[in-house]
Amino acid sequence: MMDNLSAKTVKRIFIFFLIYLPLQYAVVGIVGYYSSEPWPAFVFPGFKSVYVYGNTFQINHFMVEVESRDGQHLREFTPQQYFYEIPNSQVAGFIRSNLQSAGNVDAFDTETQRWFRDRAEELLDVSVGDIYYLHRRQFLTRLGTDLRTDSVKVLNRIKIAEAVN
Amino acid sequence: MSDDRFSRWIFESYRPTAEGLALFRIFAAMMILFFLMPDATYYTDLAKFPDDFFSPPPGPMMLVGVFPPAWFFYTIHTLLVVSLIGVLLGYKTRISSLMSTLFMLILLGFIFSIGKVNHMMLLILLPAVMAFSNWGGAYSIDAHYLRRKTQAEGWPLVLLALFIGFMMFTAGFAKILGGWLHFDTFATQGHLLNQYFVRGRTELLSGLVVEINQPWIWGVLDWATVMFEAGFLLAAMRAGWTRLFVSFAVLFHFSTMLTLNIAFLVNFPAYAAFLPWNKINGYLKSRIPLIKKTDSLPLAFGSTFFILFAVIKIIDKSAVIMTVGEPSFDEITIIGIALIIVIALGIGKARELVTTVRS
Repeated sequence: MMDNLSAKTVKRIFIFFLIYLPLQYAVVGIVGYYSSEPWPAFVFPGFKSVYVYGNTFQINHFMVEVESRDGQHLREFTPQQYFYEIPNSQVAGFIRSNLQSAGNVDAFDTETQRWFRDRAEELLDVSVGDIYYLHRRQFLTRLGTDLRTDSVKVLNRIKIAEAVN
Repeated sequence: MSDDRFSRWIFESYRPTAEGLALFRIFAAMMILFFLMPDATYYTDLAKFPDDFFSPPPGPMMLVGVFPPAWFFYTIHTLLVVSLIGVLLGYKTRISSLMSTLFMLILLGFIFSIGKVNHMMLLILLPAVMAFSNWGGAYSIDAHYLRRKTQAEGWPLVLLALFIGFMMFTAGFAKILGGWLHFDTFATQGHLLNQYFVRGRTELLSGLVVEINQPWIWGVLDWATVMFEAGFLLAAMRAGWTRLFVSFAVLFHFSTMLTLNIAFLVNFPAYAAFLPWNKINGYLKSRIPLIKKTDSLPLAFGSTFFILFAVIKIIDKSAVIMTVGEPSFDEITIIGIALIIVIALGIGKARELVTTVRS
């Protein structure tokens, strides 16, 4: 067993962390603003977003839309359905990092596009066409204990895999 | 803070005994092994993902370009289990504790490189911080062979309280910046609706709470959450305040589990560090007649928790009581037990206060 640390060393450890903790938090804030949250970091989740303004609400829906070989809408999947092996706590972040920021289908190499197609075919049991990532925002109003949908707006629709001829 | 006060804060806030820390060591190692290990069934899927899915967070994981093969994950996972068993048995405890932290960092670093960081730093830090408390100084293989009394250290508990307080503060501060304290916004309600309608977290009391449409309730919850989280940093300054805020934290996590279906079990081993382990050790020594020999106390304590955790795990996995995954049966049970302990300790403290005031 190792010996205990001296009082002087322990004090230095505390002084280090008392300086380091706020500094790293500042770095987390700056890096997080321009990129994403660094890791490892001494932070807890902020859940800072506010979705409720008076009686109106905004809810974001992220979906994977699969088309048939002839370009017809076949089915939409929630991320939890499509990426079923990814833990629920991570799937929204996965979507944000990998699909939302993708821009277009060129962002994914052929191996990744094949993975998307294989997954769609596994889930639907048919040969599929193009696959899209869809970001919708639903605007709702509370009426008593009910929620009324005022409108739904598609904010983003990105092709993530192309059909193979 | 003067040097004298600074020293008193570091060295005199907590006065743990080697035996008390040892009971916590056994409890924490077993809790991690049973309930908080990374999901080993996920490693094969992770290794099979296309390289495009490798999106590491800014930090050391950026040095790696792709997910490693499955055998790498299984090797690190095995090493983590071995090091945690080392902590449990108190074998080369300090090294085992530090290695546990290192292996968790590696495994979780890859798991979080899917594009989403989960906030598990407290769990990762716990063994490394407690390594310096000499939590292997009693009821351990080390103590058995060393045959020399080691001094239990209280300062790691102060450091742990500082980490918890600071991390809680970061959560509260982000909420302030995000507008949680504005009177015309109801962030808690928004998150509830988001979890309920978008993420499908519709278990326990979430359905009932979604129907609450009293703005003042949501406003109070927003303010209470921010005050609790931001105030935790101040609470780290005194042991009593830390224990009070840890109790609030248990209540907070219990309520978010019931309403948002988010169970933050990963923090609970660190919260448990602030339980009165010295008293628990004294109680076990004095009240249980079977425990006469020193060696039988950790064995009885460890066996009890082993059986309890094994039963909870078996019920959870067999899904005989609950079929839903989030929150799971083990999360509900353990957080529920934690709440009962907090209430019992609170009643005990209140009685002490009443007695003091009367006398």
